[in-house]
Amino acid sequence: MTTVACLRAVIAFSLIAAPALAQRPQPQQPSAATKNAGPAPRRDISGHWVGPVSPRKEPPPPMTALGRQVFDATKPLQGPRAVPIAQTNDPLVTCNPEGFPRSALFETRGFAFEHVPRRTLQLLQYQRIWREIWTDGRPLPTNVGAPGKDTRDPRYYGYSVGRWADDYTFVVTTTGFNEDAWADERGYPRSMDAKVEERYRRIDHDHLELSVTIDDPKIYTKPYFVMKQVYTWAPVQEFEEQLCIPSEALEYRETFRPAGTEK
Amino acid sequence: MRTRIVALAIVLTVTLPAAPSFAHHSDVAYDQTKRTTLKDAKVISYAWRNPHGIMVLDVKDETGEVVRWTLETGSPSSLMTDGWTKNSVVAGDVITVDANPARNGTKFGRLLRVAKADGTVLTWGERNRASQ
Repeated sequence: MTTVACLRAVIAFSLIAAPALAQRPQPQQPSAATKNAGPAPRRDISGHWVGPVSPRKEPPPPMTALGRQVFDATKPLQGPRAVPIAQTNDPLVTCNPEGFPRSALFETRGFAFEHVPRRTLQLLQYQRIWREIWTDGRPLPTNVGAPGKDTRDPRYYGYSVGRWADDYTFVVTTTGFNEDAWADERGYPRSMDAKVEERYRRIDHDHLELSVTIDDPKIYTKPYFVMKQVYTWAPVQEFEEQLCIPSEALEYRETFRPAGTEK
Repeated sequence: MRTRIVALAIVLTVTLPAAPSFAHHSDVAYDQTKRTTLKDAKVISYAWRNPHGIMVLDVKDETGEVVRWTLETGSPSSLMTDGWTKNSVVAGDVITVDANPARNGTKFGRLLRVAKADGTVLTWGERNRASQ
């Protein structure tokens, strides 16, 4: 491992394992220097990026019968089917893992990338978690959740591999999902075998465009192009502390339960 | 003897155009077409936390009776974006608050705006609503 690579690994590790930061009064605002952004560096999306809580999403294609059944069972807190907090079954309401691709579609106020040997790490501000995106050429697992030996367990964040489609576009493919998590905050599902593609296109130094597509024949009759969102370089290259704390989430739900009940 | 004038809290409700959702959590429990003003509300507590802050207020109604209101605010992250700090509102403050009231008539709401005694005005999410 080269010195530079070691340094990057240490930085990435320290970001993951760093103790909680005190809440700072400085908000993370999109960069003001948008018009004078420098050129995009080649094959590099590292750094901290900021964006909206909930990017605008495209409507899904028709769902399969199974997809509709699973979708109908969800009671989300967001979107046209939103219910009061007392009635929801959103896993996030008790701080269960957000999972993927929801982590790319909701609570996207802050994330970062670090390129390290054999993989790229995505660090997510919300809940301070990370994803390993393998770039060493390994294939995606094909035996997730299968019976027998040498199989892989489904994961909330799946299994991810990444490659450079060109010098400025990093493509991540993920599969092998734990179906307990929703695909997004509106209650749309994705199955264990879904393949989700993220395309990160570095427009210039300050702008990173993300496109997300879910290919899941069990749930959707066609690939679902979910969104395209531009994120901006964070002037403060540091995360805020944004945690879902179960005890506080439960107190919040119980406090405001009366507001959402029939009188 | 100096007469102590107790300003009665005035609860006003006006109708507003519908505003889209911007919160982390569902706001369907609140009537976004209405804006209730809680005047001279005493802050009993304010929990600055995720997923949303919880502000408890005592407000006198037209008859002088103290009524307790509970409002949800943004998360620290979203409030800081709007210029708030952890100490922007603390227990003991007397403030005037605008909020979307609960649809079911309970004394709950979603905070929109705070006017402090020193003239400071704080909002939550107005920029987001304007941009949507």
